[in-house]
Order: sequence, then structure tokens, then C-alpha cells
Amino acid sequence: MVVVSKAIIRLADVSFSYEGAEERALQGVSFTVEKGEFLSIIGHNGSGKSTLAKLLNGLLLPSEGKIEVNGIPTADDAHIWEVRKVVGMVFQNPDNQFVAPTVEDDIAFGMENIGVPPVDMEARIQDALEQVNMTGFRTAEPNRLSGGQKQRVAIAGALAIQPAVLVLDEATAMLDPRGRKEVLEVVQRMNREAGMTVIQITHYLEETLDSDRIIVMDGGRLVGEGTPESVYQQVDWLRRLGLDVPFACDLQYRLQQKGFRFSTLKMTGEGVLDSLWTSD
Amino acid sequence: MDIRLENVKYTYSPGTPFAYQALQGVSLHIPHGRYVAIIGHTGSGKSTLIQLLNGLLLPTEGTMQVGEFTLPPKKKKGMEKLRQQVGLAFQYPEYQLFEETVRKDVAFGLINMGLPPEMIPGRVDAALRLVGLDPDKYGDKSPFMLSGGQMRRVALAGVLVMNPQVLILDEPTAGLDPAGHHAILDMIARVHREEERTTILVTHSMEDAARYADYLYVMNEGRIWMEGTPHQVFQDPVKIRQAGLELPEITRFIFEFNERVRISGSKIAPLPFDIFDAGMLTNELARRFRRKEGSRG
Repeated sequence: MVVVSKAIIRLADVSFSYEGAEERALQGVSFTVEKGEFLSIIGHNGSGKSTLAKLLNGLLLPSEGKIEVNGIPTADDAHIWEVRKVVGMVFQNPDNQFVAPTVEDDIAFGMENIGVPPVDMEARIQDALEQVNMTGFRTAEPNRLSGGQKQRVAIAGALAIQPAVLVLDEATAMLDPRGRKEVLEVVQRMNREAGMTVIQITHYLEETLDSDRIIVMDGGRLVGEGTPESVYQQVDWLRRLGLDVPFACDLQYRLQQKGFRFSTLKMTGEGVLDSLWTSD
Repeated sequence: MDIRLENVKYTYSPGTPFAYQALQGVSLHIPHGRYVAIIGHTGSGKSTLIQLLNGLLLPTEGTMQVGEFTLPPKKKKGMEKLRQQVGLAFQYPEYQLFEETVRKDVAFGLINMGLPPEMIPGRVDAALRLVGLDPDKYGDKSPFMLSGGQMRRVALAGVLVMNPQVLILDEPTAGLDPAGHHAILDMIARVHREEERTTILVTHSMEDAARYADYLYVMNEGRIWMEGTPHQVFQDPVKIRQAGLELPEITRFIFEFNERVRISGSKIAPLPFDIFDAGMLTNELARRFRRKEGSRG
């Protein structure tokens, strides 16, 4: 029988040490990311999440082990741009991501890097800005935009490369709730409608609730993974790791300790209310 | 020190094509010793307001009184005094750390203001203790060898060491993980209780504003859109949403709970709106549903 693999990224026993550091930032991490998956990675500061993100498109290379993107090892110098075409990145600080004086120039810059023919650029810029609802800002100066707008432009820049995978490294950390929602909605739509694989690293647990899978990092190791329901059931364990659980999960956990019973873990306040009203 | 603003307006780059009126007439009074939170979406005027409070910006129109200082001032002299009394910790304050050791970094402001050298070490160590860092353990380390949360504490110590009467914190937990987030805010709450000063927290988190502050200002379009205790402010979800904000999750839950009680005609008592703590909410729920079970049995 032929097994058809849908894996787009594969990590095999990956370790990483920063130069001069005594401890490894990542230690024996293995997992695969399926095409079209929405994956969230959580962990406390210093758990190795961001290092992991930078390894995914070859910004950092594993000290040990191997990462393959579409079958291409990220350590393969000759094909690094192939890897970066597949994996687009958006980082935390919206102010550090712009190189050009206007939004459209900035998006074009990324395309030039991977050799998109100039005739195709116009359509791609237009398309990418439409995806993030920023068409009115084509000629705007990036530094005059709001945080949420900047991050959406950064996403547009990544989308113009037409990556199969979008990695968001705490891309919403510096945004207000509205900006966070804008960004999350855009990537959720890209995932749903365009089948884009999304890997997001976040401290905002609410942003992880609709993920297909959550990976939990601690001390550079992958220490847990599963659906949001299965991960957020382990309240004590997550707290020991310096993490928290979303409001609805916290509430159910506390109610359980008072003798309430929930057949399944609800991820929203509404779900908890449903349980309260339907149970005895 | 009391803070009073009378119809304060502020325009960036006035008289240029980029002129932008960030504050459109703000009046407020913050009595000394209060813990207030300023909330509002990006661009609502929060940052402009806090920069006015410590004299980094001066009102384009209107007047303000910050303790003994009247702004705009008749002469520029004395503004550094205002900045000593109104300590402002910017977002990601650890980006401004630069010295070789934690102690040197915290001492920087004191040296700059010309404090006699023999008084400096004591104040520095006290400030480090205040933010929960053992001076003997961390004082001689490089700030850059610390974790993100610890670096943030060092930066806050650098503001607190000046012993400001007003402490302004712009998103002090941005980028920290949940444990670091709570640790910093609990630390700030403790410092507020222990030291006689006004604390002004700028935050995007409705949960934090509700849990930590006595009084909230909601900014929108360069104006004070709403103000009051968390209980008062979060009772008006329509107005909160008009400001581009959301209710704290716990308040949303209480609204939904009460709505269900109403629709179902149930005898369960509605939940009060002044609960901002999950433990308290759990107790209230347990009380209500246990009573229901009891009446059946």
C-alpha cells in the first residue's frame, strides 16, 4: 500500500544552540506539519518557540537533526530560496519589518528577492492587499499605519510570495484587541479558503482555540501536543509550565473542583452556559 | 500629586500637511493615590495623553496641572523636575537597558539628576527589592543575561528608583508569557499599595484594567469616551464596542448568563456585574446551581 504523505514540514530530532550559549535553545524536537493545518505553538518566554519559528524557513539552521520543507532540507544552501518561497514569516514587531518607503514597494521588495517576474508583481500586490483588506493603503508610508495595519501589510508581503505556509511569530503581541482580531481573521480565512498552512506562535490563548492542533514547548523541548480540548484540559500541568488556560476552561476547571461535571471541555463561555443549563 | 486637565488638545506637526489632532479636548481629574487604567484602541490618544502628563509633549491648547506644575509652563526650566516626579515606563522598556550591570543601569537616572554618590547604592538596591529582584543575586549581572521578565523588572526599577509621585506604565506586560504577565502586574499592585503614589496603567487588556485599577478612562478618537469604576464602565457594552473595545470575558459571560436567566424565566438570581475574578464567579455559580439541585432533592 502506498502511503500518501500530506506533510509539508518535517522536523526530525532537531536541536539548536545559539553561539556561546551553554544550554540548547531546542532539544530533540520532532513533529510534522500537515498541509492545510492550523497549528498553534505555545510556551513560556524562553521555551524555544521563537527559535523554532526561525528554523522553519532556514533563518536559523539546526545544530543537529533535520528540517525538511516540501522535502527540501533547510540546510541545503542551494535551495534556501525554494524553502523561503514555501514558508512566509511575520514577526512580532511591526516596526522592524519594513524596508521600503511605501506599502507597495515593500511588498515588491520581498518578491524581487525570490525572483518574481516584474510583470506578475502588480497583480500579486493587488491580490495580497485585498486579502488583508488594505487596498486603500497601497501608496501609504508603512510607518504612518496603525499596528494592526502594519501587521496586515507584513502579512500581505508574505502572501505576495504565495507561500504554502505562513508562520506568525507572536505577530499580534504588540497589537490592540482590534488589531489582533483583524490579523487573526485574515489568517483564519487564508487557512479556510485558500488552504494555507498556518503556524502561529502566541501568548494569547484565545487565539489558539480554533486551531487543529496545539504544540506545547518547555525548556526547548516539545512537551505536549493535541487538540485545544485535550491540551487545555490539563490545567495544573499548563500552570506549572508558566502558562494559563482560556477563560472558559479555567471556569470549568474551578467548577469541577466544586463538584460540577462536564462531559466535554467547552472552549467558550457560551459552551459553559449550555452545560450549566442542560446538566441536572 | 493631583492631576487636572482642562480641555487639553494636542496636535502633531501643526501647520503642515501631516497635522494630526490626537487629543480633541480632554478634561480629567486624577486624585493622588489612585490606581487608574487608560484603555482604548491604538490611535485613540492614550500615548499622547501619557506623554503630556510627564511633559514630553506640551498641550497645543488648554491647560493642565500636574502637582505643582502648570502646563504649558511659562518657561522651559524645571521640566526635568516634572519628569522626575512623573515616572514613565515606555512599552518594552528593556530595550532601553544599556549598562554593563543591573545596578549601573538602575542608577543611571540618579547619577544624571546629580544625587550624591554615597546615596545611590542604597536607593538602587531598594528599587531592585521593590520589583522583586534580589540585588545581591542580580545586581552585578549584565541585564542582557536576564530573562525577558527580569529585564522588564530592571527597567521598571530604573523608573521607580527616582521615587516618582506618579508612575505611568505603558503596556508593562506586552510580550510576556502568562506567568510573567501576572507576576509583573501583581508586583505593580503591591508597589502601589506599599508606596504612596498614583499609578496609571495603559493597557489593551480589559481584564487587567478591571482587575487592577480603581478607576478607568476609556479613550476614543482623542477624547475621554467613558470614565468610572470598572463596574460602571463595563455595564455599557454598546458604548464600549463603539470605542472599538470588548468587554472583559468574565463580564461578557455574566451578561450572557443573565440573558439566559431572563429568557428562560428561571428563578436563578442574575449575577452581579462587579465580579472580575474567576474564583468569585465560581462561588456565585456554585451557590446558584447548588440551590437549584437542593430544591429538587
